[in-house]
Amino acid sequence: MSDSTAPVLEVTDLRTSFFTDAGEVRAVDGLTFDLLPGETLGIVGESGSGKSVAALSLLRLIPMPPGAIKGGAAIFRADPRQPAACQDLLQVPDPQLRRIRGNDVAMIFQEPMTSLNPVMKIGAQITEALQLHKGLDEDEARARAAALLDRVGIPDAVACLDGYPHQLSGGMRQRVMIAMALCCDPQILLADEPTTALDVTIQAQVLELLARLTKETGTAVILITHNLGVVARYADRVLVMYAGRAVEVGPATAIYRRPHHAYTLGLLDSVPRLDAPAQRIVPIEGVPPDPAHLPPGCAFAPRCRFATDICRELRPALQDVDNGHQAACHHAGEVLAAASR
Amino acid sequence: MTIPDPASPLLGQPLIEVQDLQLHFPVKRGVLIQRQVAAVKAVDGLSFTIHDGETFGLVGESGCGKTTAGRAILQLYRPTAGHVWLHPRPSGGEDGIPALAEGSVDLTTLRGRRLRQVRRRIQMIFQDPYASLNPRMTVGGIVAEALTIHGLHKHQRRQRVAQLLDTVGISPALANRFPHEFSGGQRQRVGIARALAVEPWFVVADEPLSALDVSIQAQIVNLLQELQDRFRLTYLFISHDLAVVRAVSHRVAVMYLGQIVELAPSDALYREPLHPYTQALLSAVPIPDPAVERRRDRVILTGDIPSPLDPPPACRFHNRCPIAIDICREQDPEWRELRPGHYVACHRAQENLI
Ligand SMILES: Nc1ncnc2c1ncn2[C@@H]1O[C@H](COP(=O)(O)OP(=O)(O)OP(=O)(O)O)[C@@H](O)[C@H]1O
Ligand SMILES: Nc1ncnc2c1ncn2[C@@H]1O[C@H](COP(=O)(O)OP(=O)(O)OP(=O)(O)O)[C@@H](O)[C@H]1O
Ligand code: SF4
Ligand SMILES: [Mg+2]
Ligand SMILES: [Mg+2]
Repeated sequence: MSDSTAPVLEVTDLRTSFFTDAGEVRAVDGLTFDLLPGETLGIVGESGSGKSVAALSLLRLIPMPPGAIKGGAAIFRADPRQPAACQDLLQVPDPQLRRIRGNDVAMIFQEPMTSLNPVMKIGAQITEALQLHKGLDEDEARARAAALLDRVGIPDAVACLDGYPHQLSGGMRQRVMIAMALCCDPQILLADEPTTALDVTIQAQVLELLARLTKETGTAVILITHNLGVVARYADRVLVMYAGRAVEVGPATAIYRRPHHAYTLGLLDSVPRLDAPAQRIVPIEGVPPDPAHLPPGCAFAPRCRFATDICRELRPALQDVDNGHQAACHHAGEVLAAASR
Repeated sequence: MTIPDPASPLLGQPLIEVQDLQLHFPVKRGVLIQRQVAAVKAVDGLSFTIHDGETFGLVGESGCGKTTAGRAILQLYRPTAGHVWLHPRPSGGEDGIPALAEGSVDLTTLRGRRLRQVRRRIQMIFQDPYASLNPRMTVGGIVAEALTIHGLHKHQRRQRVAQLLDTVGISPALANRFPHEFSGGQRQRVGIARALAVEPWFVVADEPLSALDVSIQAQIVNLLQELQDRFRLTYLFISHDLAVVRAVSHRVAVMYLGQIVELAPSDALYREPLHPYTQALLSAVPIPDPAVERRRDRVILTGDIPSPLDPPPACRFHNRCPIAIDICREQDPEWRELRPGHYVACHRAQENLI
C-alpha cells in the first residue's frame, strides 16, 4: 500500500438522521474517512455511536423514513488503477446500486439470520447471487457455491447446499455468510460486528478465516466492532467513533500507543488486559450523549477530564497530529502526554 | 469428590462449599403423557469452595452451565444431586439474623421459611438489567421491595433505600423514577442496590457486564470491587470475558460441558494454563495491543461445542482437543493438584509443567 494508491472508498461529511418523536437523531453527524485497497479499517465506538448506521448508509440500506441521508459523499472506485472512473454510492441510481451491492461491495451482519433467508436452501441463496452478478448458469453456480463453502471450512459442503440456515450452528452460519459475501470477489467488505454473538473460540475461527480470505482476494474490509482486542489483531488502521463522528483515525499501532483524543485514551484505559495481572481499570465517567440532543462543542466534553471552556463551545475538527494520524481534540497534545506517562 | 483448597493467606474461611453438584434438565416427549426421554446434563459434578471475601471467577463458553451452576448454588434451581454448604461467617450475624445460629447449613436441604431466611445471605445480580427490573415499579420501590420481603421495618425503609441508592452511585433524588428512564449502567446499579438491600454475604454476579458498553463496564467493575471492600462481600463472578475475570478474581474455574476442567489462583491460571481447553480459550482472546497481538500464536480449535444432551465419553474435550491420545477417549481424566492450589482434569496436563 503506497501513498499514491487511490482509495477504493472516500467518505466525506456523511450525515444520516432519524426523525423521531424525540426530535432529530443525528446518528451520523459528519463522518469523513478513506479506505485503501486491500486494507482492513477497524471502526470502534460504543453502542449508539453510529457505526451500523454509517455502514448501512453507504449502501443506502437504512429505513427511509424515519431515516434520511442528509448529505455527504461516498466515492467508490471499482478499479483503483483508474482513479477517475468512480461513482458516488449516495447518488447512483437504484438499479446501478443493486449491481454494486453484494457484487463490488458486500456486507456481513452481526446476526446472520437477518441476512440469510430462513425458508430458502443455503445453496440457492448463494447460487442466486452468482447467477445474478457473475452470469453463471445453474450448474456452474452450484459447483462454485460448493467450492466456496468448502473454502470457508464447512465440513460437508455439498450436503450443506441442500440444508437450511437454522440447521447450522452460529459459527457455521457465519461461515456461510462469509462465503456469500465473498462469492463475487468484492472490492469492499463491510463487516458489522461479524462475530459478536459467537463464543471466543468460534470467534477466533471465524475471524482468522475472514482475515485469510480477504487477504487472498485483496478485499478491503471495514471491520466494525466494540472489541479493542479484535481491532488490535486485525486492523491496519483504526477509526474511533463517538456520537456520530470520527474523533480519531490512524495506523493501529499509533492509535493504541499514541492516542491523541481523550475518548480513545479513556477507552484504552477502561479495558482490562488478558496478559496483565490484577490491575486497576479506569472507567470513563458518565454516559454517552443523547444523539437527539448533542452538546454544542465537543460531544465528549461532558465526560472528559481534559475539557476546558473551548471544548464546550467549539466543535473540534479532525486535524493531522502525525503522519496519517488525525484527531479531533482541542487538547490532543495533553492527551498524548497523559498517555505516554 | 471434595476439593481441598489452597491455604492461601489471602483467603478467609470457607463460606460456600459446593460438593458434587449436579443439575440435569429433563427432556420430555409425548402428547398426552409426558415421559422423560433424556436429560441435559447442564451441571454435572461440580466441587469447589469459595472463601469469605473472595471473588471466584467462573468462565467458559456459552451453554457450558455457568448460569445453571449459579442458580443451583442459590437454590433458584433445585439441584439433581450434591450439596451446597453455607458456613457461618466468623464475625457474621452482628445484625441479629438467626440464619446461621446453629452453624453451617446445607442449602439443598432447606425449604420454605427457613430457605427464605437464609436467602438474605445469598443474592444474585443478573446479566440483563432491562429484564430483571420490574418496569412498572419505581427504582426506589424495587429496592424497598427487597427490604419488605426480608421483613425490615417500614419506618426504616425510606432512609435505607436512599442510603442504598447513594451507595451504588445513584442520586436518591431519582428514587421515584422508573427503570426505563435510566441507562443500562444505571439500571445495573439499581440491580446491585437491590441485591445489597438485605446485607448479603455471598453474591452470584451472572454476566453483570455483558449488556453494557465497554466504558460503562469499567464503572460497574470498580463499583463491585468497592462494595466488596466495604461490606466484605464474597462473589461468584460468572463471565465469558476472560480479561475482566482476570482483573477481578482471586481464583478462577474453567467450565466445559457441565464440568470444571481447571481451577487455579487467577495469576497462575492465566500465566500457566495447564488444560488444553484453557490454553485454547486464552489464546482465542485478542489483546488490545497491536504490537503484542501480532506476535501471538493461536491455538485454533476445530469443530463446535458438543451438546450437553450427549456429551462425549471419557474426557469431554477429546473430540476438539489438539493433543488427545487414546486414553482420553477411554477414561475420565482424574482431578489432580499439579501445583499448589492448581487443579486440572487432563491426562496430559503434567506434560505442560516446565
Ligand atoms: N431506525 C431507527 N430509528 C431511530 N433511530 C435509530 C434507528 N436506527 C438507529 N437509530 C439511532 O441511531 C444511533 C446510531 O445507531 P447505530 O445502530 O449506528 O449505533 P452503533 O454504533 O452501531 O451501536 P451498536 O454498537 O449498539 O451496534 C442510535 O442513537 C440509534 O438509536
Ligand atoms: N431451563 C432449562 N431447560 C432445559 N435446558 C436448559 C435450561 N436452562 C439451560 N439449559 C441448558 O443447559 C445448558 C447450560 O446452560 P447455561 O445457561 O447454564 O449455560 P451458560 O454457561 O450460562 O451459557 P451462557 O454463556 O450462554 O449464558 C445449555 O445446554 C442449556 O441449553
Ligand atoms: S484429557 Fe486428553 S483430550 Fe482431554 S484435554 Fe487432556 S489431552 Fe485433551
Ligand atoms: Mg451496530
Ligand atoms: Mg449464562
